[in-house]
Amino acid sequence: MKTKKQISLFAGILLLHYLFLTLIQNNLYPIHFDPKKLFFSDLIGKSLYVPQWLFYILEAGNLILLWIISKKIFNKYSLITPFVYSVSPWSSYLVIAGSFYIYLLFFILVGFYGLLLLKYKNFLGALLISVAILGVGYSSLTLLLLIPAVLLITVFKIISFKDLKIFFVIITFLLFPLFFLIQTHSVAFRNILDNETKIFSDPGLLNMVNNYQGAAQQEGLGKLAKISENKYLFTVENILLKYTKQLVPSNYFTPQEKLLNFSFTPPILFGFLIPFVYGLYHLIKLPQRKVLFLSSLLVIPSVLSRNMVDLNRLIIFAPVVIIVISYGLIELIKNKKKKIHNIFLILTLILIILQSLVVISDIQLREKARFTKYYEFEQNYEVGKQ
Amino acid sequence: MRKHFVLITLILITLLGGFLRFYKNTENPPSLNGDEISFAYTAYSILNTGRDEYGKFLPITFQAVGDYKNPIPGYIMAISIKLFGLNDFAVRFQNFFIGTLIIPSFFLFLFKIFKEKRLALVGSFFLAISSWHIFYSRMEYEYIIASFFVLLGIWFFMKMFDGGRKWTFLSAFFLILTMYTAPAPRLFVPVFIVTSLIFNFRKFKTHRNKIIIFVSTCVILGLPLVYATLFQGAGTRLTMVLISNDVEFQRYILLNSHSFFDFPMLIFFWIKRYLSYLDPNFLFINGLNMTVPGTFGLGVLYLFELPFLLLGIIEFIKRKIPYKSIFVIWLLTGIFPDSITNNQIHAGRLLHIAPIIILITALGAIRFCKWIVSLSKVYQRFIVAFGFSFVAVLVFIHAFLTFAVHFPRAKGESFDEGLKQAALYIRDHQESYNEIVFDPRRGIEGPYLVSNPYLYVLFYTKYDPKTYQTETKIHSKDSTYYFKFNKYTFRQIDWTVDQDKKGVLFIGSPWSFPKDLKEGEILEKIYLSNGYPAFYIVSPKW
Repeated sequence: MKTKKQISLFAGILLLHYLFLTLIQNNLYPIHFDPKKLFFSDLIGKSLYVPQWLFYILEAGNLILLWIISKKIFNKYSLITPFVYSVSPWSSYLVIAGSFYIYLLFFILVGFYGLLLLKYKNFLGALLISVAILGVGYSSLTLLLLIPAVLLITVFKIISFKDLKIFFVIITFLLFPLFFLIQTHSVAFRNILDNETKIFSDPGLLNMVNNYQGAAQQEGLGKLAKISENKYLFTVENILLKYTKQLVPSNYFTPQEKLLNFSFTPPILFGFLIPFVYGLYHLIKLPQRKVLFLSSLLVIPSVLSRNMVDLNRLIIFAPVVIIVISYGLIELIKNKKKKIHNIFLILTLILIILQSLVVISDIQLREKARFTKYYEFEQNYEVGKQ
Repeated sequence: MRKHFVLITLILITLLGGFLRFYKNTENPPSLNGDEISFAYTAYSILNTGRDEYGKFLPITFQAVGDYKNPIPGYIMAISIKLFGLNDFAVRFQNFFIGTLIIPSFFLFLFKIFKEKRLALVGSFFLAISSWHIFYSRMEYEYIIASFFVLLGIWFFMKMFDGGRKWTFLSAFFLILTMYTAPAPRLFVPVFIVTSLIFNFRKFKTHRNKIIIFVSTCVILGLPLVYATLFQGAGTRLTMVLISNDVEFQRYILLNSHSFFDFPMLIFFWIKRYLSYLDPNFLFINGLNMTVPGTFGLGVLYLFELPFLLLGIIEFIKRKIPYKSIFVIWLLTGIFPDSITNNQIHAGRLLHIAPIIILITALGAIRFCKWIVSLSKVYQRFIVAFGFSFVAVLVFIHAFLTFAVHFPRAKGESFDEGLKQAALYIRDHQESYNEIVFDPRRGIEGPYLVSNPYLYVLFYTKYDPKTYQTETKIHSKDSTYYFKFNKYTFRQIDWTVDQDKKGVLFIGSPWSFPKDLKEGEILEKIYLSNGYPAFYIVSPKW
């Protein structure tokens, strides 16, 4: 009976999400990203894309996965996580634009669920992790490069090597064809690598170094400039800046970084900042903070992009933010008898309702005009490369 | 020696801070900027005649160039000009002096509140070397003075509950004085006081008398400012810079089409602005806006202070700190005034929260050092300490180069570089000419209008304020810029007509003259620090 109720509530959440998606679609479609080839197909010179319709299905999959993950973590409050995700405009915008990272998010959630299962159902957990790694590895070079780092840190910090040894064998075996392809198509591999990691080929950075060193040289301080204003240091500084920038709350709760480069809709409604801060404050004190720190690796694809913050690539980090918000919300609900918690809850609710109304009205009234103003043409409807 | 260790260290820290604020401060920033020159001539005028350049007797706000400046910096500068004469040093002296004085004051503040010498020393050291504080202390900038008064005001506000009534008066006095010093505290102070009273209601209930005295003193001292704001144009600046007039909000967010939800949209836009103060780029990379946008300059904190800031926040949350809620309110309400303006986020307008940010950084630094000491192996301690020191040295070298090389090159024009040399040329050669025409357009990329060259002429020629107040001045009646007094005319040069004028000295940017000026017509070329020509001084050849 309880499960039935939960399922029907979840169906409501799903419906709510798709209603929101439809609203955006009606107002903005056919805005779209330049479709991205799957990594392995790009490697062999073929053009294999994820079709647009699949994003809509995968989005439902993402919601379902968030629900079952949430069940494992939060038990009876499990519906809060998919609810927060469903009322956040972030993924909806990316789905209608055909974001490749919605597809990758699906595999990441599968992998995360596998990780949660690993302790109890070793085989199923290992299987799901293997599926996830194969999914992301064959589809995206950036995430393929991230896999060893994630695995190493997981083994050192979270789960013992013993728990993972089955799937290490499976993974190595299944990824072997991919490594073979990389070996035999090294030129294509290099091109893809250059395209995916724009941060290392930033002409602005080199220009700045030359200008700075030239100016210092004229003042007789060239040696000092060579020590402290060289391209290596500035690259490290740039990476550090970008990495830190990904973790700033204003990216997620305000339109500081524009969705699809033009929107004024925030990725996540601002009201959720209160439970986010509350949740983070409490999570940092728990041993689970290790997982939280590990998950910050998911911002790396955004760090490597040309933009300072790439909300499209950053969607794979969204579940982490959503889970922290859910944790904060649950803690607030549990402690709602305390006056201050109650005030926070009510404030959160008021802000969410108010901003939902504002966002819906604004999407209908101005979003298309904003797109036109930003891109200055309407014919192509493309919002950039991924 | 050991007994006086803290005192000696504090003196050394203060001397270091003073040196960093004083060394070549008349040469870097490369020129007195528009605000400095405006304050300077008003102060000179008040010193000599008791009236500003518009003839108003001891005004509560300075009309200046129509931006209604706050009076305290001007009055303090009058003392400085009296002591050192009318020159660049006198103009910048007050900020160097107060910027240095705040270092031992901050030490005392931390020591009295936290009762910890180590924290007080580390905090004052960070303040002494703070690029944020150094930058604004090297020029006349009213927020440095305001930040000093805010520190004293809030310190006495905290002491008010433990001490006698004198602290109540002193707190009210300094907090209200801040409102006469810079625009942002006019909002910050009332918001801070009201928020503190609300969130500390229980504590304040037991000090009802003191609160009544405090509020009454604030109201009485603040009344002239309220009057000036309502009836003397001091509110003009506030209405000009409100966030609702923000270009991005009007043109991009609202798209000039209006709906029922415009006000909530404004609130969410403000929230976006408020949270952008956490931007690492602002905090660590280019918050001081000393270099070209998009390049690596200096932020309000050094990059090596990033771990200190993070650890400091954690330490601040975890640790039992006296008056913690007031510190938090100080920080959060301190951002408020700047966040509701339509300008870019501005580090200078946040200087009144510098003490709290530096306090957090100091807490983090001490935590960080404790962590290094707690490392079990000596070599680990050595590697971390050496590695971190090495990074800090690299950051300091970059900071030095930014101050010494990149900043003057990038921002010379926005500091009105070249106007001083032009005005000095006028001073030395004006006797040979019947008229001096100054074209107020300048710019490297393209010409734009600056309306203040006349102030540079007034300042560097030490023009008699009484004469200036009383003599006839002619302004244009249409939208073109025209201003004339005595033999000085500030207008656009039209060389096709002006080249035939005899006995006239022309000063203008390269945009004012044709490229094929006759040989010998250019008497002098004035250059910016980056090598671009700023002004030509020309006399037509017949």
